[in-house]
Amino acid sequence: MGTDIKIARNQGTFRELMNAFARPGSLAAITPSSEGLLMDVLDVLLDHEVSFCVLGKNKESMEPEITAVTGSRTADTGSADFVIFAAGDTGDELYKVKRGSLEYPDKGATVIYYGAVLDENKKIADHSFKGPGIAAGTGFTAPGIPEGELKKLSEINSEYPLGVDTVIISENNILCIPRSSKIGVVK
Amino acid sequence: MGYIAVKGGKDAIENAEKYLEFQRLKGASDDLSIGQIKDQLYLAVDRIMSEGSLYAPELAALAFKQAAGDTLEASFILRAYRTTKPRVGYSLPCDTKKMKVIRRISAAFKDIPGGQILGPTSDYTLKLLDFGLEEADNAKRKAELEKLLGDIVNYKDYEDIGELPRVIDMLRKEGLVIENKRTKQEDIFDITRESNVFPASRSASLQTMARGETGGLLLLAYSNVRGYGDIHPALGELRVGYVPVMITHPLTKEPYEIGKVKITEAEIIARFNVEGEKPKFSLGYGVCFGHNEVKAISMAILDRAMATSGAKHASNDQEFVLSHVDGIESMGFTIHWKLPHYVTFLSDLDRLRKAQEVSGK
Amino acid sequence: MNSAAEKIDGKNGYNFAFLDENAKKEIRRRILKAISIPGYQVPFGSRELPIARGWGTGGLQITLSIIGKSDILKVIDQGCDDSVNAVNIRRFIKSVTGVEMTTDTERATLVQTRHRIPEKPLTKDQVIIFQVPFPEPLRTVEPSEAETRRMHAEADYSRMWLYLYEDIVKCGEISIGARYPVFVNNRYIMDPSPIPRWDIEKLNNSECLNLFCAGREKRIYAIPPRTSVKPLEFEDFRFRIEDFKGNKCEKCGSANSYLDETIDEAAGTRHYYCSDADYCEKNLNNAVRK
Repeated sequence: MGTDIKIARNQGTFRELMNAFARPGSLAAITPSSEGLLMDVLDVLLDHEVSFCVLGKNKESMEPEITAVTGSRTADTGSADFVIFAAGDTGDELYKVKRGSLEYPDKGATVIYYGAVLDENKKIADHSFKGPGIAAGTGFTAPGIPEGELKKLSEINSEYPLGVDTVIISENNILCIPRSSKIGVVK
Repeated sequence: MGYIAVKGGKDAIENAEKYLEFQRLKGASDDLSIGQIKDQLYLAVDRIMSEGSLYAPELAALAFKQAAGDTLEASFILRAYRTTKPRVGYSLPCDTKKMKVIRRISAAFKDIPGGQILGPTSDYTLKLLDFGLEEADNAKRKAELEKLLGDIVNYKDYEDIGELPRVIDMLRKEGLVIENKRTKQEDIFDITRESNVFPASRSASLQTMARGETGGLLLLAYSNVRGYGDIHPALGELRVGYVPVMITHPLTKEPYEIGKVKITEAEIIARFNVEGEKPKFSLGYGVCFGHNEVKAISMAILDRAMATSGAKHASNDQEFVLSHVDGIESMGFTIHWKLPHYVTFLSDLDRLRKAQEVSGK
Repeated sequence: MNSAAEKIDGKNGYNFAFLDENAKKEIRRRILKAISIPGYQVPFGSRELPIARGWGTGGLQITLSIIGKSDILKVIDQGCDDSVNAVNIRRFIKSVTGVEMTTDTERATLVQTRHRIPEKPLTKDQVIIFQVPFPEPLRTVEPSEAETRRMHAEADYSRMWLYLYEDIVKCGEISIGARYPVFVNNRYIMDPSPIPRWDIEKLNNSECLNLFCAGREKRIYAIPPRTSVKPLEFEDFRFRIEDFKGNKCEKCGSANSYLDETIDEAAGTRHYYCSDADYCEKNLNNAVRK
């Protein structure tokens, strides 16, 4: 990929990410490059100034690949700036992710779920959403992310402004849950 | 409302630029070459590299020419250029013991191992106008140079006189010095990548001062030693010279020298009293690009001053010092008051009128 | 002489949007954190730009980090597109990005501003970027950054309230003109940049994303769309916007816009015109069409 094309792609992907963070629960549709949407997003966010870790399956194969593409270094779950999970149950690992301090809550990590399923057409939302950026009645469905996972996120973000910010990535959509969002379950 | 004319702002700016350029060109004198500035106005070039935070003598000379001799503006131009360059890697820590010294003095001891080396200093020149320099005369310049060189044929910027021991180390051996905490390499703060947080680490503090404005550092350091502070410094050692910059060779993984930079380094010693303990000395450290003794000594005094606990004066207050010594920031903000503020002014006016109304009732 | 554009297009080969990609990456990461914690000031490694500190380098770094070829940019200073500083910033951005510039608020995808918010409400497809001189609203009551950071951490805003109270005792009203402190998402007190009080309401539950950046002070913060923004006030001493005492714009006749006051010394009279140049022009054009 030529430098100019890459610069333009990263800018475009970032704008979608920015909009998705500004409007939690809304889906941003992005046409992925041949690298796939996860790598496209990581290429926007990661470089040698920050650290990351991959948890769960594919850790051994993905970490060197991400380092090669982004220059970012690996770190353990508790100190990584970006924590990357395969969508699914992450067990207790999520509790170890750093949430920042009251003086510097921005030091809280960004959690990225990849391989999720985000269905724009599903009319009934499973999860309700409240908080900055969210229009009344907004919800979302992410069938790949287990119920317990979102509960864990809520718990981790319950001491706002401490917390983590989350990006959920499917094949060609992203959805963001900043720590300011309150997630509820629609029965 | 002159300069906020509704249309024509673009023309006004472009014409102002032309008018400014005209000021530099209108004289009848010869055009200045970058070489002339680099060779003959080298202290200005050094200062610009230090405050602009980029070691690049040609570019600093160019900035000085472009800024018509305004060192603040020139440093700013250089800093703005620096910011566009991607970071390609990190050097290994510079060992200033390896400095090729051209000047090295200590005021604390008469005799020091390796000796006092006065080097190129204006300390003892009489500040009298030299009318001999009045005429630009290349032949005379050449003759003067030949006379100075005598029978030296292969002139170099420095002679290899071997490593000189540090004066401070003599005190260290006696156990008289309180050591500053050493920062692990991976914990070094990078002020070009992160905003200073307070209390700032010493690495952040030294970096901020190393690119600080000479006059700003001088003022604060002077205020301390004059009486708004309690540092009574002794100059342990002042060194000027060329220090090798090493990187890890990408292929051999061995240390590899990529060049030398001229720096000035100052270490000051001041008494440090801890209640219930024997008094000891503590150190203040200053370093900057180029030959700039005022800056290095001021920085060393401030480094030591900020270590004083229970800060009473401006120069003891780390946040105060570090937030105000950057010339590019302080200059930019101080001159921004020239920008129109009439929306905010009217908003204030509204409050003032209202307050008068209220008190009039 | 080389113009700024020639210097940039020349052999030195500056990157698209001037900043190198790593600088943009860092700023982008910080923007996302700022959006995630509305009103909280995220420190960042502010870069030097060829425009002086204090002259909009914060806003510029945001704009340069988010702008793309398909954006349409509007730059205003005091509400006006042709103020010299706005012209200068526009000229610089144009030379390093080539993107289309507009004075038309509705056409812009990005608006960079100093001291005003356009009168016409911005939409969900627009982002407004504020140039910020003083990001810390508590600086008025506390000079030390270490201390103001603690106050924000603990949401300990008692000194700010005391300051407002004493202000009322002294002046009979809260006497803050522009830069009126606001509460964002019921958590952080935030400096909205030196916009007039007139513009504060536009930040509350806006449709657009609001990004703020102070280059010299190295802070980024944000108000996402649909976020609660409330000016500080007491129940018996309410926040008040500027009072134009029934004066209208003498060009377009609007009674619903922030006005500039000018003084005609010779005649000894005062005149009022819209501060938002595009709003005024559109009003005028509409009047002509009718």
